[in-house]
Amino acid sequence: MELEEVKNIWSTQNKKMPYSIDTAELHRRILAKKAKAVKVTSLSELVNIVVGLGAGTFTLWTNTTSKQHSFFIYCYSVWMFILAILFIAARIRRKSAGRQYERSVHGELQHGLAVAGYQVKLSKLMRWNNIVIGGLILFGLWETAKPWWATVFIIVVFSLGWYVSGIENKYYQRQKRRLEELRDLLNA
Amino acid sequence: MTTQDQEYIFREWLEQYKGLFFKIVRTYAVTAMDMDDLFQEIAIQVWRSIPVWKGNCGVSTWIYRIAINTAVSWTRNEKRHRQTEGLEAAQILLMEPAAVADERLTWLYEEIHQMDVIDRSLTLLLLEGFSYKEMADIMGITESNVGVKINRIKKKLIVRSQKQDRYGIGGSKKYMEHPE
Repeated sequence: MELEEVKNIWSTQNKKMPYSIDTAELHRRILAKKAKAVKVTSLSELVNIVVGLGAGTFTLWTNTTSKQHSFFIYCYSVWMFILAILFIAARIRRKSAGRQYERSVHGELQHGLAVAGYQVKLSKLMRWNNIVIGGLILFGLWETAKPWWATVFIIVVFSLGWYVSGIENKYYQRQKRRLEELRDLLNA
Repeated sequence: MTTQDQEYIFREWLEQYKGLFFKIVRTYAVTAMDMDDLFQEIAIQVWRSIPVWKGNCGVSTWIYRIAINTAVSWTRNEKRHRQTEGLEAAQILLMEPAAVADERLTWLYEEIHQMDVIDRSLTLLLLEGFSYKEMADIMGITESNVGVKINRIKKKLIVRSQKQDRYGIGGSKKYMEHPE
């Protein structure tokens, strides 16, 4: 009885005049949205793949063509190629995983959580990657006896990279936590 | 399916179910700008869903399914939407008929807005007359979980309504019988 009354209040909307929609403007916005369909995660993967392949090829080429060969710069090149392959594999896995979730609020949340978890992992990997790359470059500099200021410069740049990637990681962790709260709310 | 077919179906759905779109948008968004933004998001997702729709459920159920998923995601990113798309949303897409505001309906929407996003979705489905099974399908939770949540929502709504002197359910009954 009481619920019926609430439903009656709700259904008064159905008797109103038809709502009007600016369909031309809506169509324009849909097309605009489709045009900027490249998502942040996808773009960040592509950038990492290109950077990995580019930096790996460039350092391999300069190292092999120079008179003074550095073992650590070879290691750096190999590491960059490995990273690029890892990113390609992760991208393929993420795209195929997106099709596995059901079309429900729970399914969407699970998908959102999977993407957020992936972003957290990716940013953590990139953070630790700073140390590996920085270390390899420093060893390479030491091996080829570069001036001291080059070492200081590399240390400052990679320290900054470590700090910024920490902020990025915390941002993704917060996003993931919000999703987990929502999932808990749904299951409560 | 060609783009023209998709376009045709989309326009048909939009025309036929615009009241439904409006109710969903008003359930999750408060300001005109937010309503516009959410409506745009829902419209885009419904457009994209057309080629995937197999016809194994009613169009309105399908639209609810897409719209609620979109609204829940939108609510999560509401602040970001406001910041980045404020200017674009300035041109209003969805206009409510210029009728006298129904105070009882305003009260009901205010109550719904105070709920969390999951309860809001279930209340919307409850008021639209969906069965527990349909709600469970749309939300992706079990029927018994839906039952527990709906009972909680009903109790909350009744208690809230009793606290209202003027717009409460008891009051609204008098209002409907003797509108001033």
